[in-house]
Amino acid sequence: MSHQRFVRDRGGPPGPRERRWTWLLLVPLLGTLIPPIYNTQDPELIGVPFFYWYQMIWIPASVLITVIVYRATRSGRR
Amino acid sequence: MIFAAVDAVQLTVFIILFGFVTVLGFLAARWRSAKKLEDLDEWGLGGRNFGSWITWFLVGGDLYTAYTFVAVPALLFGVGALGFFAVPYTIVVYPMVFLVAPRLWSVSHKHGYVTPADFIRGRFGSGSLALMIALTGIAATMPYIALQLIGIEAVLKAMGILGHWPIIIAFGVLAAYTYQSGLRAPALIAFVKDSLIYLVVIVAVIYIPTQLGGFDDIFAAADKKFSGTPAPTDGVLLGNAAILGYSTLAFGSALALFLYPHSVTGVLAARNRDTIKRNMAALPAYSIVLGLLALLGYMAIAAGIEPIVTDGKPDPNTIVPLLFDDMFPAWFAGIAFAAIAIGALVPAAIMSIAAANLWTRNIYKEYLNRDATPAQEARSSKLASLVVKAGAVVVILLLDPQFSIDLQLIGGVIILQTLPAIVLGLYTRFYHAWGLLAGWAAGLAAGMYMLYDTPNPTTGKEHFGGPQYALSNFGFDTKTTVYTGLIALLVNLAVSTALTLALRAAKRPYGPDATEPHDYVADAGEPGVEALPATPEEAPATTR
Repeated sequence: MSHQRFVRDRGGPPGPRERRWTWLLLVPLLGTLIPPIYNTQDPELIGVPFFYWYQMIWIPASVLITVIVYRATRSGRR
Repeated sequence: MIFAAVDAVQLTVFIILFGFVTVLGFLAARWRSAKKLEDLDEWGLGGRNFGSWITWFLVGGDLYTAYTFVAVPALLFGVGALGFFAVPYTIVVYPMVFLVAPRLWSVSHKHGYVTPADFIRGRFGSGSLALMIALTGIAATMPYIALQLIGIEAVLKAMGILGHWPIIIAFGVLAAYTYQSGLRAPALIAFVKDSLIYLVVIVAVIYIPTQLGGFDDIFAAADKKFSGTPAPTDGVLLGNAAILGYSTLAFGSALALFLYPHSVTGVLAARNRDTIKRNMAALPAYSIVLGLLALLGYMAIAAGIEPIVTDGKPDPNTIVPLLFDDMFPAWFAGIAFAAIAIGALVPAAIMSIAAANLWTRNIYKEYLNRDATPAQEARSSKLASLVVKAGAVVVILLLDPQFSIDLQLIGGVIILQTLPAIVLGLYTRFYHAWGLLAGWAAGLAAGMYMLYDTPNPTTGKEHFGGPQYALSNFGFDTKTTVYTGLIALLVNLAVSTALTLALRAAKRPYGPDATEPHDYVADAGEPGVEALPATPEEAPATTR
């Protein structure tokens, strides 16, 4: 998919196509708010149980997702 | 006053850093300031002109408080995995706020709103609903400020400085420069605070594990401690009964975070919508620090740290300062302690400004002096910020610190009851002001009752034992618990919706709505939204 799809006219509220991207924001919630997914000891990472490092990995992952949504929906003003 | 083995190097480093931020606090009045601080936009919102970098430091300094940095590891030290809820909590909050906060920013800029209650006044045309939102905000913020004092006190205890006088001095200084410089003071000090916190945390999580035999040994020590206790809810992993409690606490706390007036203050001080959105992507950097800090709780277990006992009660909040004291050379421990103490000043300043703005806009101007000039508003807020901080000191001096922790617990539950009015209000006018008022009252009553009805077997308290309500109270045959605030919010939503439907059926008229649909997406530079001077965005040089 080309970068062009993110580019829109200057100003104004996001259109329906851009708004679709906001659904991505649900992904970090699903990834972190269902503890049975990650409430285990193994696999360990440098001695840290899965429970801890799995949740820590969601921090950069949610940053990435938020950046994608931001780029897709920003008002176009610099 | 008692000095018990105070380390001179540690104390000197601490005092130098503390003195440095005090000077910064006073100088902040002249920082990025075009006009005099004689109206509320300038004093209370820093001119509504903070770019991405400043907003990042300001909101980060605002949300990740000293108390968080002390209490989250203390929670892991005490109960284990359950305390790690702070990580998913600070992950899920930003995607949600990403959607909501720009709408609040736009409508507030368009109409000159300074507080969330201002918005409610304009949106629903209801003075009583706005007053309730303002009072809820003030009530939830006050104990939060007091908690910051507890954070400082934990550090001072670990340094061997006992007694209350240092806290009175620290808050006196804080009150003076907040009075003079307004929101610019914490914004400027936040740079120092965060640089120190990042430095300390990175050093701590790299250096301390090497001294304790690595993470294997650290988690093994924690596991050994928790398997030796009778409590079923502690452990390095979540017990089955704690799973729902963990996720509802993380989710509910995330919903509550940006309803606090001080979070709203940080958001409204941003320059434009994109500044807020960029920040929602960048703020999780603090969550990494928080997650690493949380593990200090286990490191304290492995290092054999025992909390300081005051008046016969162990104070778990002292474990992180004690760990630093134990592990670091004196000069670096001094830096670490200063980082925590300065970390208490930034949020305390912003919270007192936010509470003062609520007082001025929604009580003073609404009920006491309707024709207040901008200068009178600013003066009222400055004085109120002094009263708020004095109140927090008095609370700590006169009352059991446990009382502020209880109040803070209640604070989270009650601030959540403003969600239907504020957040749903940003999207829809479906709800009737009376419905929202009734829902707020019902949610508050339900929340207070459930908190009162929660014992804590570990500490032996009969009431206000924690933010988890057992589902067995509703007749379910289970040990599962759920975050109290979320249950109260469901009650609130049910009552708000039911009453609104009834009022609509009875064709009761709605209050006037001062806002229009486009107001919620308006950006800086558009008609009615003040065009702001072009300054180089993004570059750290804007801190000039």
